Amino acid sequence: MKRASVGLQALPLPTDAAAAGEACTELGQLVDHYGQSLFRYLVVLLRDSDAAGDCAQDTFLRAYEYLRRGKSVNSQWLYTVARNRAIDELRRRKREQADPAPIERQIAGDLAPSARTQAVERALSRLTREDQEVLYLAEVDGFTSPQIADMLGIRAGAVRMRLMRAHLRFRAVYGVEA
Amino acid sequence: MTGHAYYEAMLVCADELSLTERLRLEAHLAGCAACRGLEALYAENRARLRAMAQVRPPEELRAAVLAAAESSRPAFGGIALMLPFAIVPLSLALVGLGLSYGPIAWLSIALGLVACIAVTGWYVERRRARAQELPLVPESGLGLADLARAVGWDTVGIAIGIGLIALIVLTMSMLGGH
Repeated sequence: MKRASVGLQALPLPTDAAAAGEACTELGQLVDHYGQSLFRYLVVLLRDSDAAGDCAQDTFLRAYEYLRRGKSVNSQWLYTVARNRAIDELRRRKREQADPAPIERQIAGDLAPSARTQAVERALSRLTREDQEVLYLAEVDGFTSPQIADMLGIRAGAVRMRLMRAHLRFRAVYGVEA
Repeated sequence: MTGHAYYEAMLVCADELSLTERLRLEAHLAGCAACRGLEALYAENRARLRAMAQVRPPEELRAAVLAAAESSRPAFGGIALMLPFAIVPLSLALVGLGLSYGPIAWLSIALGLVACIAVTGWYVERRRARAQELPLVPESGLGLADLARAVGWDTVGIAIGIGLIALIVLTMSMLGGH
């Protein structure tokens, strides 16, 4: 039986459509394992928790289709699909000129974070999406620069340079916000 | 890139360094206050970002993903979907055999058709039960209606039609023999 890698773990996979029950079980594990981090990543990209929820759901359904066909799904795959889905959503918004509410207001409404975490959220939201994305992937989700490079379609050296700049900008903006 | 910038780039991905690179970086850090400051800045940023309010996905995300996956998956598929269609060519082959070998062969045709329907029904029902994680045999027992539902009413209709034709031909053949 083929095996799928979920993060560093390898999980058994169904090999045909009739074993969709197994794919459903795998999907549940994926949602449990990556639901929160993927949702958070999509919130960072989209600055809109409703759209992030929709994109996360689409991403997991795509994963289910893959699992059902006996294909491998790992964290990089999930994040890449989620990112593509988020880019589609941003393009749609651009066409419709729809601008979501600022990220910090939505997050504050969700969980009422402390003043310090609100300052971090505000500082993060002042950065460009590229900076936010690379900071989040590297420092919150712990992806390595080659993994991020695969996801973003750029070289690992470019990821490191972008990450360095993002750190410096984040520090500068955080200093003002805090 | 072997100067100061080289070590700055190493700092941002310190977790990915080899032992040799790590030792080289530590040797540089021991004598470079600017890089030690940068290292501290990265560590502070990392700690702040990780401590950021953990936005949770909507409560209904998991349930919505699994419900959508459940509704999109086939009850059964692959060979199971093809098996009912195999009844028709098999029945025709048996009819051909019956035409060649007379009344005794016609009796075997009738039995063969019944066996075909029963085996296909059992097989498809088994696949469906496994896909939906249902008990193989319901508590009430596996009735003819369950088998018919599993095989598909169209197939049952075709099989009954062929069976009736076979019965008529068998009767006529036996009457003609007498």
